[in-house]
Amino acid sequence: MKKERLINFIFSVSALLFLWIVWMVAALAVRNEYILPSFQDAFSAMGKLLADGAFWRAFGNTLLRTVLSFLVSLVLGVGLALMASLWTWVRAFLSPIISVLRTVPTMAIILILLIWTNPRVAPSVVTLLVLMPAVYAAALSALDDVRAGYGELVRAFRVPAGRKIFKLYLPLVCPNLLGQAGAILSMGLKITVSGEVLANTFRSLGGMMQEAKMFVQMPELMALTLLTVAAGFLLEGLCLLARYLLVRWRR
Amino acid sequence: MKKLLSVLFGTIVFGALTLGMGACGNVNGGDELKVYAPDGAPALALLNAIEKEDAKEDETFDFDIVDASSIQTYVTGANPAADLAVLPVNLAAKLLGTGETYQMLGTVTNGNLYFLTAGENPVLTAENASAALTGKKIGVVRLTDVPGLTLQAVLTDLGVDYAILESAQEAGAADRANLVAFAPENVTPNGGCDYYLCPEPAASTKIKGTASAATPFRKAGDLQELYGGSEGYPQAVVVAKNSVIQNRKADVETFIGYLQGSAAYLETVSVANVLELLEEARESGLAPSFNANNLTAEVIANCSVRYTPAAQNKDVVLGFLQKLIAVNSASAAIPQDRFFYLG
Repeated sequence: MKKERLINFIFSVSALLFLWIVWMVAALAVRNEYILPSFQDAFSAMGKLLADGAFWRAFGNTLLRTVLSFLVSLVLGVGLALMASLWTWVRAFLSPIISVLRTVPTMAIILILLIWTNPRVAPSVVTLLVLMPAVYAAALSALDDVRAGYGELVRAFRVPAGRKIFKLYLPLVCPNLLGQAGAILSMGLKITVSGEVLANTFRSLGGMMQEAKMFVQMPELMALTLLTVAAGFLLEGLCLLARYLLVRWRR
Repeated sequence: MKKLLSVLFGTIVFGALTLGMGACGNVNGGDELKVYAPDGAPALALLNAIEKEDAKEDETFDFDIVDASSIQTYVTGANPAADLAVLPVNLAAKLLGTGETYQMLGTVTNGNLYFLTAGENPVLTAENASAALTGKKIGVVRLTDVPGLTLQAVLTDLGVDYAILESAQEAGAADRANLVAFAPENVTPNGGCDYYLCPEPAASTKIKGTASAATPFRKAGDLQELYGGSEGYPQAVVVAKNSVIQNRKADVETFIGYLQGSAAYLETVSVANVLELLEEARESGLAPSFNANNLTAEVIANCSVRYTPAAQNKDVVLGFLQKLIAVNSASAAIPQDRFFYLG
C-alpha cells in the first residue's frame, strides 16, 4: 500500500515536471515574451506579487466571494436535495430548473448580471448559480444511496422526520459531500475569477488579471494564473483535510 | 512489422504536416508591406490609405484590422509580422520604446472621450471643472485603462482632488470628485452618477438611445479639450520597422502622405464607404467596433483622426506618457530618443 502510494506520488510529480518542460519548450519555440513569458520571468513576477499588499487584498476579496458563494450554494443545494429526496413532486419540479442552470452559458449570465447588479456582486451570483446545481446533484445522489440502504429501516421503526434528517441522512451524506467539496470549491474559484475578469471587478484577482492584460504585463498575468491554480489546489487540500478530521467514525 | 510501418507512416505524415504549417507562418504576398491596426478609432486613420491603394493596380501595402487585445503580437517577437502598425501610444512606448526595431512616425488619433450628463449639471470646462466635479460622481468606462488614467491626469492638472469608489451605490466624498468604473452597457441616466466619461461611438449611441427618455443624455464636456485644448492628447501612433524605413523610405513617405490626408478624407467620405473599407481590411471573425447603427459623420469627427509627425509631437507624446506613468507606473514607459522618426 505504502509502495503504491509512493509510486503514485512520483507519477504526479512527473506530471508537473512534464508541464514545466512543455512550458519551457513552448517559450523557446514562440520566442516572444508578450505571447508566452519565460518560466523565470513568471516566477520573478510571482515573487513581486506575493510581496505586494494589493495582491493579498485582491486575493482575500476573491477568496471571500468564492467561499461565501460556496457556502450559500451548499446550504441551498443540500436543502433542496433533501426536499427532493423526501418528496418526488419536489424532485420533478426542480429537475428542469437545475437542468437550465447547468446548461446556461456562464459568460452570458455574467453579462446579464452586470446590467442587473454591479461588478462586485455579479461574480458571486454567477458562482452561486453554477455551484448550486453541482452541490444539489452530489447531495441528491448521496441521499438516494442512503435512502436505498436505510429507507426500510426508518419506515419500519417510524423514525420521526427531524431525527431521520439530522441523525441519519445528513451524517451519512457528509463523507460523500466532503469528498466532492474540494473539486466544487476549486471550480467556484475558477468561475469567480472568470467573472471578475469579465466584470473588471475592483480589488480582485480577476481585476488584476485584466489590468495585467491591458498593460501587456504577461509575466504578471501568468503569475496571477499560477497563483489562482495554487489557491485551487490549497482549497481542495483543505476540504480533504476537513473530510479526514470530520469523518473519523468511518475509519 | 505492421506496427513499425504504422509508426513510420504516422511520423512521416506528422512531420509533413508540421513542415507545412511552419511554412504557412509568414506568407507575404510578394513585396507588399504589412500594415496592422486595432479595430476602432485607430483603424479610421488607415482608410485614406486603404482606398488609395485599392485604386492602384500594384498595391504597395496590405492592411489588416485586428482585435485590439492582440495588436502586440504583430510588433513583438524575433521576427514581427508588422512592417507598419497603429497602436495605442502607451503600448508603443512600452513595447517598442527602445527604438531597436520600430520607430514612431507620428500620432494618428487625438482622443475620443466625452462627458455625458442627464441632469442639470453644467458642461465641463477647464475653468469650472473643480467646482462642477467636487462632491460629484463620474462613471468612467475603462477606468483602469488609458481613458481613466487620462481623466485622472487631467483632474490632477486642474487641481481637482479625486477618489475611486467601488460602486455607484457607495457614498462619495463631499470634498472631491468620485470616480466609479462603469461598463458601457450600464451607462444610463439612472446609473447613479452625475457625469459619465464614454468613448465614441458609445457616447453618441447613448445620447441617441436616451433621446426620448424623461432625462436624456447630453454631451457635457470633451476630455481632449480639458487635456490639451484643440490639439487633444496623443492617443494612437503609427510605427514603422527600422529596416523598412532604411530600405523602402519612398514607400514610407507615401504612407505618411496617406496619413496626412486622413483628416480631410474623413470629412468627405460617406459612412457606408467607411464601413465597406473597414470590412475589407478586418480579420475574419472579428466583431466590428463600428456598424451602421453606431457610426455617423459626427462620430467619425469625434474620433479626432489627425496625423502629426513625430518630429513635431515628440514633447507632447513624452509629456502625456509621463502623466500616465504618474497615475499608474505600469501603464506606460518613457521611450528613448531614437524611437522617434525625425525624417
